[in-house]
Amino acid sequence: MVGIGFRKEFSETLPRVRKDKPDFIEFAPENWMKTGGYYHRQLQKAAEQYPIFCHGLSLSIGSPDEPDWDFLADLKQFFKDVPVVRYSDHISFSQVSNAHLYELLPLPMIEEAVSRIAVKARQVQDFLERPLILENPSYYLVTEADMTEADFISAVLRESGCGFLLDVNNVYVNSVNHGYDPAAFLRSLPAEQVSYLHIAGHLKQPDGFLLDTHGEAIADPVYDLLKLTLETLSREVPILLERDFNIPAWPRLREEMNRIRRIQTEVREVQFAS
Amino acid sequence: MHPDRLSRITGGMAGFIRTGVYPEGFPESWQPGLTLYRTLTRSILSDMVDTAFPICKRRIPETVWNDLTELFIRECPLHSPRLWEIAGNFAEFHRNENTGVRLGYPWLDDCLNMEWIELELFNRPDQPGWKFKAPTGRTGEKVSLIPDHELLVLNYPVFRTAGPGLKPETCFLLLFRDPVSLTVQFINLQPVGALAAECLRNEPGSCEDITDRIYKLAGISPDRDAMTRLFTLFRSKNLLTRISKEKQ
Ligand SMILES: [Fe+2]
Repeated sequence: MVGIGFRKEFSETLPRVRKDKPDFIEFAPENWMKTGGYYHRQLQKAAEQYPIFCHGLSLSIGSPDEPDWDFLADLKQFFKDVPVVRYSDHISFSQVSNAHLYELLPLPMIEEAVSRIAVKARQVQDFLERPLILENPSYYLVTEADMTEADFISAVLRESGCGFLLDVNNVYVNSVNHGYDPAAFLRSLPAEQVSYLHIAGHLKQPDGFLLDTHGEAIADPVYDLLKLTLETLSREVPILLERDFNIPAWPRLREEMNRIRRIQTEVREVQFAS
Repeated sequence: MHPDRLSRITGGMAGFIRTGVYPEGFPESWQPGLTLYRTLTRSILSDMVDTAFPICKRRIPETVWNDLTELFIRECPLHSPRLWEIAGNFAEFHRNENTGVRLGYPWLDDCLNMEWIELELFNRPDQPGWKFKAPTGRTGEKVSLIPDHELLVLNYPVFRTAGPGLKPETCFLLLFRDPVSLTVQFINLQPVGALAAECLRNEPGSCEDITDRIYKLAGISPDRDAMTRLFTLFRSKNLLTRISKEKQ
């Protein structure tokens, strides 16, 4: 299964796509809940044709704040109105003292953050009555760290019992920016908890630093890392192409989805043969 | 382990992003990363504000406009998880701060409010179960205003984007989401037109009913032809909807 992030820019195109259709769509529930009008109608049309994954931005699972119960109540209602198959958010924080910052900020990689996430994840899942999936984020700053990133993510997933949304581009971006081997990193993550994958483009700065923009085409090394990920997983999981900015014409996105599909097929055939 | 390590770090980061004041006790080595996050967060917020208020932004020097965004981010805690709703917080914040009058833009409140209402109407949840039914136009037919509208009383004609500078003028602006195209449009109404819209939103009625109601309410007898023209205009804009028999 290969899906695409649902964007207003191609919301009119998507319901009309016949050739190489995405297998599912994903969007941030915050941008669509409690709305009506034109884009809501486009969403309804798309929802009639495509399975829906929701990928949240404002759960702020790692911040010391209590869960935002009003938001969760709205979310629960939204999940009743729209047939959402999977719900994910990020291992990060975006809200402090009941004020949102609308950016995914990096958590200190410390035991206290692990336990906080475990407690909040349980509260969220109990309230929503559905599993929560958590994504490894990209990050540009390490504040305090008592463990490696791989150990931190593994601990979060172990303690919370959440599903794992493995973002391959984030692994690549972080490996370049923080100087580690992405393959070794991948192998140290709990493969059995992976629920689905994200892949996206990033922007290379003149000094070589990478920004996780979702505004460019997927880079070749990220495709290579996707292949390695699929080989490591040795089972099929859905893969979602994220494209949030500089959105190109549909055929370009279709090409990227097809390249992902070819990698999926290639890995599947090799595994089948052996 | 310090029990408040997580709060200290997340709170310090959030504080720095909003205010630019570097948190006490944070190592210098975090500064480049924190500054990058400050830039990224602020560009998300300022992009949202700029997109929501294109008319206001065009009317104010860029540095002043950026200062308004800066002040807003620093002073106004944002409680909604929905990013687009911060436009409403922005308009409300500057109204409460009396920013327009303070800076010599007395029309600012009107302009911010108009553009926020435009965005809010575009995104507003659909009324459950409501369906637009175009009126037939027959004489005596009772109609009501579509639900997705707002009648604004403005002190400045901020909707006029061309022409000379803004001079005070009381205007009645009817903003609405066309139930067919789902785009947001507006009509600048004469005082009698505003009264008619007000009467129609209170209770459905025919053109004749509304003419009578205006007389009872304001003691004026609107010209019958003018009222017919107004109803024709409203109908052509999909502003009127038929009401069901049992509601009549
Ligand atoms: Fe992602």
